[in-house]
Amino acid sequence: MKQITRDKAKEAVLRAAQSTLGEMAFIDVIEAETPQEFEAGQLMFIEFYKPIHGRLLLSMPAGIKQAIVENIHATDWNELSVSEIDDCLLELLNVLGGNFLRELEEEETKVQLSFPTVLFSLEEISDLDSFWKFDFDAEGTPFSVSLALHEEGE
Amino acid sequence: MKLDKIMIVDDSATSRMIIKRCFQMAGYQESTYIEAEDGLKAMSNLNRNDVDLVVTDLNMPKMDGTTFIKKLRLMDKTKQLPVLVISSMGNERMETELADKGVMGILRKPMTPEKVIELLGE
Repeated sequence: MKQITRDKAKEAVLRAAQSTLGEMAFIDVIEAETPQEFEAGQLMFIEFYKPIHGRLLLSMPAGIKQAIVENIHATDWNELSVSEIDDCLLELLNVLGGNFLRELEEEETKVQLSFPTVLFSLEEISDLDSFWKFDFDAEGTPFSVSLALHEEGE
Repeated sequence: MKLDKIMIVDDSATSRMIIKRCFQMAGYQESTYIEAEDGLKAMSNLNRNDVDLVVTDLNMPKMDGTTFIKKLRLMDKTKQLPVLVISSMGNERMETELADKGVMGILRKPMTPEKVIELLGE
């Protein structure tokens, strides 16, 4: 595996989050000046296999989850079903994952992702200590993207 | 480009909604949209309906987009059908491979009306 530094990964995640949330949900994202604690109202996970193997965890509070879904659907939260909400957030994660890999690899290689999933608890993730955690700010609301990159065959 | 019927193939209902909305905002608000959640259902639907354009994702369960496109090219009815790929997995090599299968272009997610206009014109 090519050596990917934490700074390079963070920059790729930031650009991917900016384009994904900006173009899909019209929400501006910046790097958080200081990480803020928040209660995760939504945990989502995706694994990627090409061009590198790794795992990505998106954690966000309930407030931004609602804003994202309402903006994408252009509909009030109360008019959406649970499956519509989950599908919407999972599609967002799918796009975020693809954009991250393209940002990281400068669009040169084939990208392969798992299907994204909703998590009920962080305990569903193994080796959580091996993840890099990046904190962002979405128009005043904190959220985080955690990333683990693996050696080939791992 | 005149498109009376457009088929959108994607396992995500959200993605299908976004694609449809982008096409409508790009000027195709009078078109009829037919939706399918994977390649298998799309093939079944194409047996019953004639469409002018297929817009398909690649990463789908049951039958992925690449297999779906290969099958389209094997049927007399659909071997010349214009196909547009919309994916979060696009890259130059894939674009070349898909162009060899007669795909007219790849639009990378997230989808925007501007990307549709750029490819199909207003």
